[in-house]
Amino acid sequence: MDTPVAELQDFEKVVQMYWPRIFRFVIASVRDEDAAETLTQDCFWRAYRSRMGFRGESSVHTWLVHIAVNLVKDFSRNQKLQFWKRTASSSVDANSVRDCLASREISAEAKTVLKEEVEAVWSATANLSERQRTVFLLRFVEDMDLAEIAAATHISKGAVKVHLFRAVQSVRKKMRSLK
Amino acid sequence: MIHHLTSDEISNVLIGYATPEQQEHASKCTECATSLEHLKETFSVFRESVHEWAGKNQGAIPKSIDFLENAAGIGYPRLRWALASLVFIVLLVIPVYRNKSEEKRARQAMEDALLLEQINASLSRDVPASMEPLMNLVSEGNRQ
Repeated sequence: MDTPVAELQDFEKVVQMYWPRIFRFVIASVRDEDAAETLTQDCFWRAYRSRMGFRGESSVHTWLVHIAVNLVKDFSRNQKLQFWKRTASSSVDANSVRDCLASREISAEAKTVLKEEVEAVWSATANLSERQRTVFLLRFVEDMDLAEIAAATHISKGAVKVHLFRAVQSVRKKMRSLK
Repeated sequence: MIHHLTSDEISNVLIGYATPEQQEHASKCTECATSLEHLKETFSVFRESVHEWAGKNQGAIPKSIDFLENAAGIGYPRLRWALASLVFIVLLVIPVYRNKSEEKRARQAMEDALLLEQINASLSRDVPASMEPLMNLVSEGNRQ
């Protein structure tokens, strides 16, 4: 298996391999297709320009996520109010939730409950602080472990744990409000 | 009496930061295990839904890195052109502004000089202006 530094030698392969994951994290964070496309492009452009300075202390994916996290942070700060107005009103595509539930062997009633809960999770993430949302998405959408999240966000593992715990509590509170 | 996991403890188990005792309880207690399983199921569907949704919204993955240079070429030369235009406009405006202010200064100096001349003329008179016709008659009479 290639070392992270060697992996960067073939940058086209890096783009092919990581583009979908970076785009997914970005769109889940900003919830705007055009902005996500631009930020993903910007992320790879920055990575391409600074690839010589990459020393392989983390995986290429973690390094790219770190760049993406900073871009999302800048974007959110610049957008401020209009970003949150749009975020609050947008929701994960209902068809996507339905398609995911279709394959599950559970009752129609359970599917309805699950669908509502998934929408509540989506809605709750919009109200999390920028840090909480980032660690929540990296953990529960990107499936990264706490050490990887700490490396990608440049915050300590302890702080990641605290942000994640608060995020989970907020999301669960929103889910409980459905009952 | 059975002490079930609290809400905080369930969240800790979910994020993988529970104590061994809490982990053990979560694996043995049906009620707590059910709560945890339900949460995991919800988060799992959430993950799949986001993956599916992102996949639907994602455009084509660029085939080569040329796009990065082209994409950068869109933004940066535009910025460079905008800066160059700004510098050009500033360079054009500065001499015009300087000429105008110099003209204004020269006009002001001329007006000041004229005013000073008038004051000097007024101060060098022998008699007040209202008595000048009388003085003219006197000087004419003297000549005759």
